[in-house]
Amino acid sequence: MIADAPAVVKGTVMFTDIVGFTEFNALRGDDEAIALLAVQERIVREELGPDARVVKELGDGLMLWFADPCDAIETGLRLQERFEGESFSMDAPLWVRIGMHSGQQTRRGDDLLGHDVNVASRIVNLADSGEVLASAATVLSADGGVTGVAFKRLGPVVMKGIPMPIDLYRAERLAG
Amino acid sequence: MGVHRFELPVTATLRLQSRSGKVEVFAEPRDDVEAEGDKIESLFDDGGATLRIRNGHGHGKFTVRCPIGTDVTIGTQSGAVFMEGEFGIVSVTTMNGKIDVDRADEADLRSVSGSLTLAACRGRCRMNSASGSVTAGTVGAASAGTMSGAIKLARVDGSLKARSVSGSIDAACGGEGAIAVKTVSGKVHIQLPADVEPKTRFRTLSGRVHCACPEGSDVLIEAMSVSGSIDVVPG
Repeated sequence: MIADAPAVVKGTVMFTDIVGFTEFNALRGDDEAIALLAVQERIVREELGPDARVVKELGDGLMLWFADPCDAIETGLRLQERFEGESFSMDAPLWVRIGMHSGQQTRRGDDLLGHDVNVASRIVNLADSGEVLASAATVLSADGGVTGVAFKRLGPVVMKGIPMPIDLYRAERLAG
Repeated sequence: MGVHRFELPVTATLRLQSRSGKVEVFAEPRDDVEAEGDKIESLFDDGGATLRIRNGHGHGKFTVRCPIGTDVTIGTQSGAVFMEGEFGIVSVTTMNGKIDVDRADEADLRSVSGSLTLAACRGRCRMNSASGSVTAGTVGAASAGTMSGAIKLARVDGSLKARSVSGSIDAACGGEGAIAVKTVSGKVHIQLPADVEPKTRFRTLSGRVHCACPEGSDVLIEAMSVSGSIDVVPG
């Protein structure tokens, strides 16, 4: 028996990624780029509930964890609304894509690892800026607990290194 | 390689899955579905509303023939996807392959690195590629995004949302819907009908902005760039 066996947790992992950050940095310099990252992080921390946390910073993106898939979906949509508004008011490309997947994760210190983390990291690559993409695992886990949100089914996605296809959905606010 | 035939209920969606081989889908005058590939697997899902067909080995060529107007969803990792004929609602996602679709009622096309081409779409199309180009003919409304690839939309009847990082954005719009364009360093060129007078909101940090159309309130154009130029011209 391993004395310090890593704890397994269940939840939803979300990745955010600023589109065009490298180009913005090259054009506007480090100070403005760092300021853009700081705005992203400030907004994220303001929107995170008590059962969610920033797992780590990833260059121009963040890895987040949520205990509740409904909270993850709601927060993802709220974040996009905040990013859009802030981008317009600060004249900077805070154009963020978001992907998420629910399952189990293995804790290693403050970090989270595992297959379901890898899936979430792949999903964000398929999102456009302003979009929130969620796996079927997240949508099914939410089980209708999110109101005023439509899930547009995108279909099976076959990802490198992931043996089974992942069904993806785009979450969007219902008009009105 | 084997050929399999399936009866397709009128309202059913076709969901196709492969891994790395080329996927070809033809919409043609017929009532059934024919699939040709290597070790084809299939099942009806969603209470019979969805026919799933999988190219079992996922590496060889996968060819499917279906009725005109069929809703088709395709997922593949790296194979190119080619769709010829007139489809209903189309959704194609691939990590690396290029996607080429003839005609659809609605379309959602995504590739991480492949280029996207859509000849015509009656309704809304959404096209997103990280590094590939995005090209469309006449579409009802469009949402298009790339990193380094160029976006070229021959005719957008309704609203347009386009975003690029360094790729150019070139679109001819009908002036019937709002236009929102964002780029970091790409060039933006929007063409409007000669009689349309747009209301413009341009925001740029260091790019050149020019609108050759008389200011009015026919349609809203919001364009934002970091260093890329923005041009709006009458057609």
